[in-house]
Parts: sequence; structure tokens; C-alpha cells
Amino acid sequence: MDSVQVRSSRLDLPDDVEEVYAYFEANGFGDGHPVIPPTVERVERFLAAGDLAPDTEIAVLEPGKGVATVEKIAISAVMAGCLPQYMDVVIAAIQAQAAFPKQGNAMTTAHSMSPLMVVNGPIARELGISSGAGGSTVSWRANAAIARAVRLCLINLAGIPGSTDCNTFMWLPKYMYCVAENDEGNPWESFAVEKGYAADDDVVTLFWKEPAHHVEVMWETTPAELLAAFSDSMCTVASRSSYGEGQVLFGFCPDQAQLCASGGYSKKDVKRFFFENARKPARAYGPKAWPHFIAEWQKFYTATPDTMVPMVRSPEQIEIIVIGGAGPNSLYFPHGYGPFSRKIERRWRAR
Amino acid sequence: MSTQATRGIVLLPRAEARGGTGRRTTRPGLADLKGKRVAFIDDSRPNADVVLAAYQALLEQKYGIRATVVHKVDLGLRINEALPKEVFDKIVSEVDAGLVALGS
Repeated sequence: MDSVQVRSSRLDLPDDVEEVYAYFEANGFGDGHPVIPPTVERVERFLAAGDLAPDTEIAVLEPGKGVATVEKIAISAVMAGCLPQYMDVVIAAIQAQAAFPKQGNAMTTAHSMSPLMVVNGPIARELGISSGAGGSTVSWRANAAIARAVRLCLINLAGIPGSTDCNTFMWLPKYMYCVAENDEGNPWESFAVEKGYAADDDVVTLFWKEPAHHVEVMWETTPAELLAAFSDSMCTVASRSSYGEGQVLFGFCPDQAQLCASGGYSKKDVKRFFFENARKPARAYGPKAWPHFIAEWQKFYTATPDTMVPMVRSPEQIEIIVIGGAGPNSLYFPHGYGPFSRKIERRWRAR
Repeated sequence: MSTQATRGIVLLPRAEARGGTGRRTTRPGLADLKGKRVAFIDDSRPNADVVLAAYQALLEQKYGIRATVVHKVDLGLRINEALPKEVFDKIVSEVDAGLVALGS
């Protein structure tokens, strides 16, 4: 876009990191970390790298009903440290968030969840979005900045200042919960292809997720033994999905995904295995549990105490992705909502 | 340094809310509470009964309300399940105000 003029109100601040940081934190515009000051010059330069007009409306976000225009999204993206070409992913993620019917509830609940973005397609490699390998020792700008931009959009466009986020616990993935699927290490079809997209489509999928649980099997196993061990890690009374609500996500590391595939397990087979084996006896829930179960779920409680209660309503409420690097470690994302997938339209270029 | 820098060049990240502030008011508040019928809707979360009972006692003693207590669990509803419309309408027809515990 040749010439861009922003319309947002201007604050009585200079292009000074410390002063902007202090002001934004004091006024609830930030996320606790320093931000790149979203100056007129930076935001206009950012917008000029794309081909959407600044006032293009992408979504109206609940519960605050903030209008997420391209310009407002760009302001948060600049603050977060994004490169202009990250905008395509951020915009698609905002569209995915708007497609979540319970977005207002997720933004206000005491239940500690945050958006998790999974990126598929060539754009992941082009932008340097990591699949998570070496996450403990290496920082990944694209993952961090995209996740943070979405979070800042939610703070500034979806939230009502000072009154929305009622999570009992603040936790790290609020800042960085964005990952690319590991295409090279994935023995199955990609998550996006499974959902009907073409292999070369760029797709972002948004979940709302609790903190992930590291699951590890160090010893040699058969595929069935491995899946049985994971099933044991997945079944717990103290999870909302075990009341019949929401869904769960399993993030296989490449090695363990390949072990399962080598044993003839498709993703559908794995989901069925988890559904049938990740179960708890009804008696484990105690006598006051039943009002918390969805109506469909109460059949398990009214059966015998030995009736085995599954962790989700059906195998379709279990999703599988392949992420991370080498090692016998996978991730279980216990309860949450999704998936909400959006094709990423290429409108921004590097500058 | 910052005092000499050009000011007024940083953009506001917050957006206007569609349809106003996002806060909703459904009807005017009551002028007073004396003799008013107030429903206390217990969603069955832990301690919801304790909190609502404390408010009920306070409002009865200090403002003279007449309380009606509705337990969602007695209606066969889950914590997060909305009151069925007919139940909601019945409560609305019988009381002047309602109090519900939200969150946990």
C-alpha cells in the first residue's frame, strides 16, 4: 500500500521506551513486558507493507466488543515486536478467536486458559515459526511476537479494562503459546490436511487451553504400551473435560508419533485408543459430582460405581498435533476448546 | 532525553467498543429495597451458598427485603448451565430483583 494514514488517537507520549512502558502499564494497555512504542511512523510503515486498508474491520471481540481493525491489530503487533510479515498470521488468529462461540466466557473465566496457536503450511518455515524444539534454550521471535500480539489485541480490543481476566492463576503460556506443526517429523497427515485444507495452504488453528502437561516415557515400548502410558496421564478426575465438556489435545513429539505410526496406528486409531483407555471409575468422582456433569455425561454417574468414565464425549473431541524435536517427551493439553482454524491470506510482505 | 523528544506520536492501542462501552444495563435500579422480593440464585459452586446466605441475612436485616432462594442443583442444572427460559421468566415474574454469584 503506497500511502497510509493512521486515525487512532495520539497519546501525549514521546518515542521513549521507558516512558511508554510505564504509561501503558499504568493504563492497562500492556502485558507486563516492555513494548516497542507504537508511534505513528512505525505503525504507518507496518501498514504500508500490507494491502489492507487500516480501517478494514477484521472482527468484533468479546466481551468488550472492541472493533479489531487492521490498524488496531497493527498497533498491538508493533508493541509485541512483530515483523510486518507476521501480520497475516496475527489477523487470521484474530479471525479464529472471533469464531469461538464462547470467546467472551474464555476471556472472563476463573479457569486458567489461554489461546494456543498452531500454524501449518509453508508460511511457518518462511517466518521462522518454530515447532518448539529447543524451546528451553532458544528464543523464537516469530512464535513469541505472534503470540504476544494476539494477547495484546485481546487485552486492548476484547477486554474491559481492569475487569475481564479473572483467571485464578496467571501462567507462562499467556505470553507464548504459538507453535508450528513439525512437518518433517510428522508421520501422519498434517493437522490442517486432516481438517480439509490443502497441503500447501497456510493455516492457523486456535485453541483455548490449560497449561500443557509434559508426558515422558524413557524406556522401550511397543506402540500400545506407549499409548497406554499416555492414556494413564490423560485420565484425571480433576479436569473439566472429564465432566463431558470441551476437548483435549495431544502434542506428540516426532519420535513417539513415528513409533505409533510404525505400529499401524493412524491418528484416528490413536484417538480411539485414548477414548477407550483414558478413563476413571465413576466412584472416583465422589457423591457431589453429578451436577457438574453435562446431561449426556450423567449416565456414567448413574451407572455402577465401577463404570469407567471417559475423558471426553467421543474420539472426535481428541485432537492430535506433532510438535517439538528429538526426545521421548510429548505434551498433553488437558482441557479446552477448539479447534478454530482459518486459512492465512498472504497480504503482508517483508520490509 | 525524553523531555526533548517530540510528544504526541504514540498511538492509542485500545479500540472503541461497538455499541458503547460494553457494559450493559437492562433496567433501572430499585429506589429502595424495603419489602422487595429478591431472588438468590445459587449456582452450586463451592461456597456460593455461604456467600449468598451472608448477603441474604444482611439485606433482610438492614433493608427489609423478602428473600427467595433458588438452587440450580435442585433444578437439575449444572453450574455453567443457564436457567431455562421458563424458569427465568417465572423468577422474573415473582421477584423485584435477583442476585447471582458469578465466577468462583
